[in-house]
Amino acid sequence: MNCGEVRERLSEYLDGELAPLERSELASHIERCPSCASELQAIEKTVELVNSLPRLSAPPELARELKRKISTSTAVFTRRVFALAGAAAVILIALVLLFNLLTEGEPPVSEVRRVATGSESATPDALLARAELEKKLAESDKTPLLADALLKEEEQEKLEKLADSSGIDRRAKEFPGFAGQGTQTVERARRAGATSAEVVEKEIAITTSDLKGTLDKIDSFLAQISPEEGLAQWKITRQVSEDGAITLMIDCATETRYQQLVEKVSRLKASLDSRAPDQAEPVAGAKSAEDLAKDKEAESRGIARALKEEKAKDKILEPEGAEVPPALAAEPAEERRRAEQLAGEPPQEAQKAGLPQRVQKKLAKEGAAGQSQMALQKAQEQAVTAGGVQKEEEKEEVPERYIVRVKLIVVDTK
Amino acid sequence: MTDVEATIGGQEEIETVQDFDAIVHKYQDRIFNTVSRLVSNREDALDVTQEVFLKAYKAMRGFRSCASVYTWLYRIAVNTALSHRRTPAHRAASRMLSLSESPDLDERGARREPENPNPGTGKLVARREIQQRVQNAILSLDNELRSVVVLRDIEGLGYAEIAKVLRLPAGTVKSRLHRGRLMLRDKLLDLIGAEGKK
Repeated sequence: MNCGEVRERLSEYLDGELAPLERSELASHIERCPSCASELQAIEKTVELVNSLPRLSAPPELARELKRKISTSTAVFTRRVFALAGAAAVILIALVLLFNLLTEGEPPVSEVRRVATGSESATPDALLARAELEKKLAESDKTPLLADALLKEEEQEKLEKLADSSGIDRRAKEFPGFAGQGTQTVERARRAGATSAEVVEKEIAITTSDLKGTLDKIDSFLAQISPEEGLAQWKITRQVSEDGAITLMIDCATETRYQQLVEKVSRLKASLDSRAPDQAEPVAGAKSAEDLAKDKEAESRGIARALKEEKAKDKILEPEGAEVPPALAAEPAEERRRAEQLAGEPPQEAQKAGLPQRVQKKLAKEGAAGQSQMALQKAQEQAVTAGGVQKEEEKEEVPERYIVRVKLIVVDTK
Repeated sequence: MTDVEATIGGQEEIETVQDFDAIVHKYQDRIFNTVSRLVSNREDALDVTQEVFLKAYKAMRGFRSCASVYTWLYRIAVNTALSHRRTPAHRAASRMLSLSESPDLDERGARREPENPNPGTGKLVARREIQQRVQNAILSLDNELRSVVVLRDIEGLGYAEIAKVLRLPAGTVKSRLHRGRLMLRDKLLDLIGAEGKK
């Protein structure tokens, strides 16, 4: 090593950033070479001088001023949003009315009013997206429940930011078990004492680059499954989780609906995984053997992770006018307690159980009749009064809950 | 503003205003100190530090951070400080400051960490002069050298961390740091000699 090479590396040497071998080479050169040694000393002194500058602390007015500015900027932002949203609402109303006039259709007055009143806190983009979804739903005679559930303005903002953020790719890659496929399925059933509800949950993770398209599909499944009642019968809640995924929790109320939805969403997942989202239109009907095998495999992969995620104790939102079994009716404390009970159960038990025998028995009993849970309960109550009921069924005062969690991992394909 | 729009999501959770307050509380001194060494007076340092946290606040809401928060904050701080244009009022203030007979660091640096309690007055003045010289020497460096020197020799960040903050290859960080130090050495040669004699 000559002097030039050594001098180039003196800073690294000083900072201990050299590999051991290089370091010892440099050290032995410096020992022999007074001029390199004095160069090193000069740099060392320089660093000491810079380092000797006193550390300055932020003056107290910084935090004060910051608080003031943040509250001011929030107020200005809110005012602007109100103004923009108001303008957007007016334009939308005008457009919808014009559209209806041109097509001579009956103006969907209630929908227009919804958009207008909803504008108070919504961003214009969220409004437009909501209006678009609502319009679609109105055309097909469905309640705009899903649109409501999905497009609360705050969440919309998050989704937009998430979609824009380049970080999404990385988050998706870091997502445990994602490994490019992004499919995880887990089914679990648990029982927390005789008086608590059975919870049958299935989580289906879908990786998608077309969030809106996927949501539309799910939307149409929900409508297909309960055409007579429409979307209002579904209790849907959603959550944006820390890894950037959007999870829809869909309370199916009945086992039949649950089975149907699981099947349809699984097929949607499979079609998106095979990267042919447009061709694979999911069809109602029996699941292919291949799909079942896929599900099983994914289940074994995903179950451990899904069990870890149990901390998420999300309340199911009760839609207005929906029939709610008494045990599930809004009683947060009771529900929380039950959720805690459920979460407190040792995970191994649930893992072993899969679908508990009781649920399987029930499945066999119900068959493909597709009875609603309420009807089933009524039937049981009648049976109780008639005195001809089995002991096992007497314990079932609380109905099962069937929840499908659809986790949408949005991937930026750009 | 590309620094603010950068990826976020990860270690520290920043979801609420309370979280943000905690972040400000935790990092304000470090950011203020860094910024103070990158801009030429206290008013600018205050303005820039506020701007840094405001930018962070706008980008943080509803998110969880990614790479560590401080890497991200340092990045915003360096970019904001280096692109900061001094206002005419600040220019006047700093001119007044530079004209003053003995530059008073209190004017520049707000509260300071407790120093040697009873240094002799002459020594104190001498030390302040030295500090002023060093600060001026740092400010005279080009932006790209200054940011690396400040992050390393004032903030004590490792080479890899600096590379992350400035989004530079490790080799570039090494060479800029070394060049920056050599330039400082040349500007402070007399002080180095004096120190060496002690």
